[in-house]
Amino acid sequence: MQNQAFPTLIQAGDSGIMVVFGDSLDLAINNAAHAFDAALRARKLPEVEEITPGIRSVLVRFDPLRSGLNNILGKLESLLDQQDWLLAPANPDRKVWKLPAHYGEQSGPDLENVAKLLAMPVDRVIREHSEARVRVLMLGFAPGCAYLGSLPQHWDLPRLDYVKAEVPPGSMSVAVRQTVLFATPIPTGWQTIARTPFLSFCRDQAPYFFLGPGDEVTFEPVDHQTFLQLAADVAAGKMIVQPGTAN
Amino acid sequence: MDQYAMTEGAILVGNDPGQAAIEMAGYGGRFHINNVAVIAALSGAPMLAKLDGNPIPWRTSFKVNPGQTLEIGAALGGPSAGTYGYLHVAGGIAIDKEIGARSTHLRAGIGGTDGKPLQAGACLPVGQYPTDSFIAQRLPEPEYLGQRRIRLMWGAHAHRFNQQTRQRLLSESFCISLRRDRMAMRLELDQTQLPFEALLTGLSDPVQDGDIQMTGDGIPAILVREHQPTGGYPRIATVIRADLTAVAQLPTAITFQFELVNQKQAVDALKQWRTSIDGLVNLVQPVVRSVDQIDNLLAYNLIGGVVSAEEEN
Repeated sequence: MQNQAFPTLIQAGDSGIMVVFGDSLDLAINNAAHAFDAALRARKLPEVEEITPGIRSVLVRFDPLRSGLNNILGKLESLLDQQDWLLAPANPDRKVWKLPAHYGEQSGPDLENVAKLLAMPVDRVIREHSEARVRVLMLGFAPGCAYLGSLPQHWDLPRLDYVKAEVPPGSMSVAVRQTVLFATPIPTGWQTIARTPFLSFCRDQAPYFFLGPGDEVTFEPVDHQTFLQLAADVAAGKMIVQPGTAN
Repeated sequence: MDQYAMTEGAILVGNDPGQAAIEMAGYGGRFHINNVAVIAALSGAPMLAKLDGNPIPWRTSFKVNPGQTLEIGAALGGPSAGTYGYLHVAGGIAIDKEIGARSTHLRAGIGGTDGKPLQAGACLPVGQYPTDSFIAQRLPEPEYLGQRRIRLMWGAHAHRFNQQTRQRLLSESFCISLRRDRMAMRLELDQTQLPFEALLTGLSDPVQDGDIQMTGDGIPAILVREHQPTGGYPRIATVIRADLTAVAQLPTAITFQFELVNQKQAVDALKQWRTSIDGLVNLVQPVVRSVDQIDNLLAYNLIGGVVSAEEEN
């Protein structure tokens, strides 16, 4: 389904163009942004300095002394015209991750509250959340921080009405049909239901960041003992999860 | 925060542009030089600087011997006041790189000295530098430090704001508040100014250096070097590239205004900005100490003795 208003190009400042694919949290819109991002990177346009994909848009930064505005707009428009980006499939080269996660207890202090909001037993909440095949919609906010989605409609939960000063690295917090997965200690206003020993940012090990936009994620519930063991392995520099491929 | 000042310092001490220096936000500190002599220079926003108690001119290279103390105070006021001063040493600050760089990302806690600002007691290694005879050099003060008119163009979410809000942004005066850091500079409204239109957050879009975002309380904030990669607050405008340094150097509580420009004006300004940085090498002059430049003239014993005009009886 193509909304005639999208995709659209918005000039932002003197050296940025935002390519916008839609106005809602939608997997097709997200796929469109990632597919366009990949296609633009493959072009290797010399006047393009940086390409950043978001949940529903791609920011293109260009050198205004290297390219007139009309030139870069023209190139982006011609790439946009090449296909219906909103029909783009998920990236066939995406990685598929199954991440261990300890739900509730000290790892997920808000799990019971979320279960109340969902009017479900805790077991079912854990099953639904861990088995949902979600995508990395966007990386942002902090190093290694990944926004995963979308969860089913009833997971459209509100944020807390306060911000927790800090949750530990690996915390998994939910709100607005998404799970945010943190790789560093961080403040958050989302509801923290679990924690994974897997950290998507490692400053000592190239390529430093592991989850990529468009990657698929599910979780495997583990108990606290297992969590501690795996966390110790990560701290010792071991890679505890190897991603698979989509096909 | 100030790439122009980084270039000035590198030229003055003979460093490659990629070498590390110390960025001082609003205030410097006391630095003790150990083991070897260093060639140093100070650039960016002028601050009160003394070497073993004697005033040191800004933007001028000088030699520091082991055992000497360099004391750098608060950023000075006046028409060319700024916020960020820089201390450069020949050879650069030679700490280990993290993820390919020596610079610090404070928000992420990466790089520099353990991802944090310099703490008292820290010891920093200085890189090797050629030990040819040292000639003091200086550079003239740049114009952007006094700039109080920041040029912008409409941003990614400008269409979401009403005409009145856009007009207010262009016609009113603002100051940078105390809530400022390398990630964002929140503006201060005076008591006659009402908060701006506060829109609901939207889906996150990627953020640019220079984006002016409107937070939930209707106060604009300018996002700068350590901005978040993506964000949900709407961005009404973006500072043009040529003015990213001037905006970062704006002193707290000093009035400034925004000015809307078009692409051609922004491009001309950027050309001018880049030309001025590229031209710095040609502006370097050796320091010639003439009498009127010597601050501590009274300390010099220029006259061997005094003879009384009256004959002794």
